[in-house]
Amino acid sequence: MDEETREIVSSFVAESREAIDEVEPLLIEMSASGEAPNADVLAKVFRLFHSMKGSAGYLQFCSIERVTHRAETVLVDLRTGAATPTPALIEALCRVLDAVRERLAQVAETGIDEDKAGEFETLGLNLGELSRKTVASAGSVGSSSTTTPAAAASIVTQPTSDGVSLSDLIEPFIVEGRDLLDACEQALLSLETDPEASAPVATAFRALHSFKGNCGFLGFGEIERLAHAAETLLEAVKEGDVTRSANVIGALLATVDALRTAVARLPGDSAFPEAAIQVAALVKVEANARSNMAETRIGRILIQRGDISSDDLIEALVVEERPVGQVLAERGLLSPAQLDAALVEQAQRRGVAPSNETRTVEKPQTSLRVDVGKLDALMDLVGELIIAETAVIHAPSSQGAGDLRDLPKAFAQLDRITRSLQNVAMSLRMVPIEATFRKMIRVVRDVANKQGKRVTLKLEGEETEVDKTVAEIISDPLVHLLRNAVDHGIEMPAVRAQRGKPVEGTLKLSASHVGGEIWVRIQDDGGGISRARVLEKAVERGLTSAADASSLTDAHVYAFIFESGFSTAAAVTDISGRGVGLDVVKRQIERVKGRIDVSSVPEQGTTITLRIPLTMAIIEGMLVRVGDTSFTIPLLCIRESMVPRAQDVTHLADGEEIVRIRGQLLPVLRMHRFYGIEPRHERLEDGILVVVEDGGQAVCLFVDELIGQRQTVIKGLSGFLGDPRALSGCTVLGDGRISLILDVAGLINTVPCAA
Amino acid sequence: MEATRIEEEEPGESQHAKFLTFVLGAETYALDIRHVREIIGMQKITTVPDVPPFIKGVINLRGKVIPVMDVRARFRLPLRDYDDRTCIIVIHVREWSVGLVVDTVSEVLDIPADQIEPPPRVAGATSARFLDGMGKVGERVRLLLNAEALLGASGEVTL
Repeated sequence: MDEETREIVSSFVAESREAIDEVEPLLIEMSASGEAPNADVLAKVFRLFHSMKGSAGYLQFCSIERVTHRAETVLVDLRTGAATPTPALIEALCRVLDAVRERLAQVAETGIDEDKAGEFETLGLNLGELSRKTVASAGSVGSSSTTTPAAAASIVTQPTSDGVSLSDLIEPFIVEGRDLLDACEQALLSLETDPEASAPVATAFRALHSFKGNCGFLGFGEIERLAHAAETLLEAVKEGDVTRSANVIGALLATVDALRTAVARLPGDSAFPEAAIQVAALVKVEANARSNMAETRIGRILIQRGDISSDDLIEALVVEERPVGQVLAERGLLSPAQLDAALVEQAQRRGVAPSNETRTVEKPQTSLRVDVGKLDALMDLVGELIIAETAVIHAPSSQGAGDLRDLPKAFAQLDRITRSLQNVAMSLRMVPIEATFRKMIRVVRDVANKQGKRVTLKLEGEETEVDKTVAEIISDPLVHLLRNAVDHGIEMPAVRAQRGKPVEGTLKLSASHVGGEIWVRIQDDGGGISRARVLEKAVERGLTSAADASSLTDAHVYAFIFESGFSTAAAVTDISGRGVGLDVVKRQIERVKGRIDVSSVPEQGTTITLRIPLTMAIIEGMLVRVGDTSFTIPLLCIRESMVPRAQDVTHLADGEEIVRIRGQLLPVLRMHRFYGIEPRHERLEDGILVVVEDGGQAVCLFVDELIGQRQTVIKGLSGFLGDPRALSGCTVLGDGRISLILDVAGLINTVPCAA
Repeated sequence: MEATRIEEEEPGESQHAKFLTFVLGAETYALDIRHVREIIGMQKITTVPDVPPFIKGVINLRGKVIPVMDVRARFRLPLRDYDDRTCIIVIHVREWSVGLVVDTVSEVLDIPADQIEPPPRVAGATSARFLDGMGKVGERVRLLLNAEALLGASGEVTL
């Protein structure tokens, strides 16, 4: 694969993966609801399959194209009511998605879509079969039994069954259509400046193809026909059958304009009489361009120049697929000089300079969709900031005149605006957690099916916004936790019936903002966690002693399940129970500075709450000094700070110091010794102790002095520095100096007897 | 269009021969200018624990925190006090920006490829493994530094 193809393929793979992620939950909802599918949803699924097919076709990934085409056909059947969404059919569609996903990984690597085992062929046939079966049964329901009018009615009136008519689908089509046409236009324009590039051709083709598909689905025949004609021309451009002259690109751009006009008339008027004229114009341009291309074939030029005879040319053409000129030159029929001259002429006729080899490479997607409202708020605040700045600069007192009373007011205003700016700027990084949540629908369904359990997954607070990184990082932990909830939490239907619970278990996945944190909660109404069994296992693994066991709080006991290798499941299933997973969950959540709370009631269910700080970018911190170095301790970790009295300090034989604070004995960690810094104070009574805690453990940090509380913008330490102990980053102070941020959990881990 | 084309050509061969030279004790070293981002005066350096002694700490470069290496310490040359001629050369190699403390910066030189000889294989020369070659400029010799080797092979700052 050359660089350019690789770019195109990787963008195809990324797009398709996104599409699959979008289709999957929709399909499962379709089967879960058991009702006639919503036409809106069907249209969406259809579109996603269709654009995948279009792109695959363009890139000649034949088996992906064929299987997505089958899926598309099934969806059309579903829409027209020719098939019903039976669980088996949905299952088959899901399997197609899985297979395509796997194939995409292969394609991404090799650039080849090879269906060696004929797996895709089987999948596709299977799909068609299933679809036909449902047709048969639907037919029999409709004709033979009038006793089930509800079922029949739901099929017959399907497209409008839940009040969604074609007109409801047009609105999204218009929006999407405009975007697609814009994308197409952009690509064509970049082609105009750089005719040799192939990436824009691919982009334009894909956009146009999706657009065409949408038109077809909605029955806008005339618009579809024009889009199709443009697509054909683009195909010819891609194949190199026509020149990439200003004429051709101009015609394509004119077509985009015409299509835009057609879209603008919707939803009122879907007739598009001009289409025929436009199509004719396109066909003419194509024909001209093709003959031009023939004109500019090197062989013809050479004959016209009298350098070779036509017999020579024919002979040369027979020799494989190599540049004709080269073949002729090798046979001595043509001198290098003659060939060069002809090549220059060819280039001139095509209107392209021969050395024009620059390529515009499409950049990988690093952009983020941002709500316009947020941008407006940002602009407003910047406006305010400029006014406030002027107020400060031109305040009489800052120009050496007048009293100082106006200055604090201006500063207060500036402070308010800065804070708001900080909030808005941070909100730009926030995305709704919805996408992450919706991926879980499939996970729960699969595990439940495999186990023969019945589970409904309820999503709540999907609109809750989280930092983009957080949304990505919590995805895996959520998968683990939900699998566990279904596997260990929810009981088998029979057991549930016995316990007097509804046979169908309920899993609730919710997100909400609480204080400065996001709480993601997984709640099941299953059997709960057995405290006795967890303790038994914990003692067995030496995590606690039998003597201590009874005094531990529930929270403490449940925390054991997140230790590595810990599992209380009697049976190790292929889903969970090996004790792998939950410790990974804990580690992942800790990466985003989050915590996990577990609560459980026997026979009523378990609730696991992931508590993740709203942002990892700014924290409230306490600035302390040790010698000449300043450290920042996250305020959330600080319990208190105090100057110890000599009589409260106990010295252990090995040099460890223990301080008694409110009846609790806490170890002292001398920061200057830990980091090898020359301190101002050696005696504990001269400095200050900061009591920090994490995960229920506390230690006293001995520092020289407290400087004060600060809003701290966290910056990572350069990866070049390796991994210094117990530092999570650094921050720049108001005076430009740098303070190192302590990682309290890491510090506590280094103290052997932290209590 | 013109401008982008010029930019695209930049990583090509044409710039290869440009070097920034700086002084360390008696020797003059040369650094491929493609790695150099900027040259700044001495800054207040914040020490960081748990790093090798030649890493002096971090500085605040307009809000960006970057590590600083004392090249004398890296070459195990005798240390000298920083003065007003001491400079920090900010280089960017692989994904890192790192400041290099040097005695002073001298000039930017063109050294044609045919004037560059491979580094001498002298046993015991501490700095030899950081060299890409020796550049002849008139009668004098400039030691061409390998920025990647200077920073350490894999980002593990090792001695």
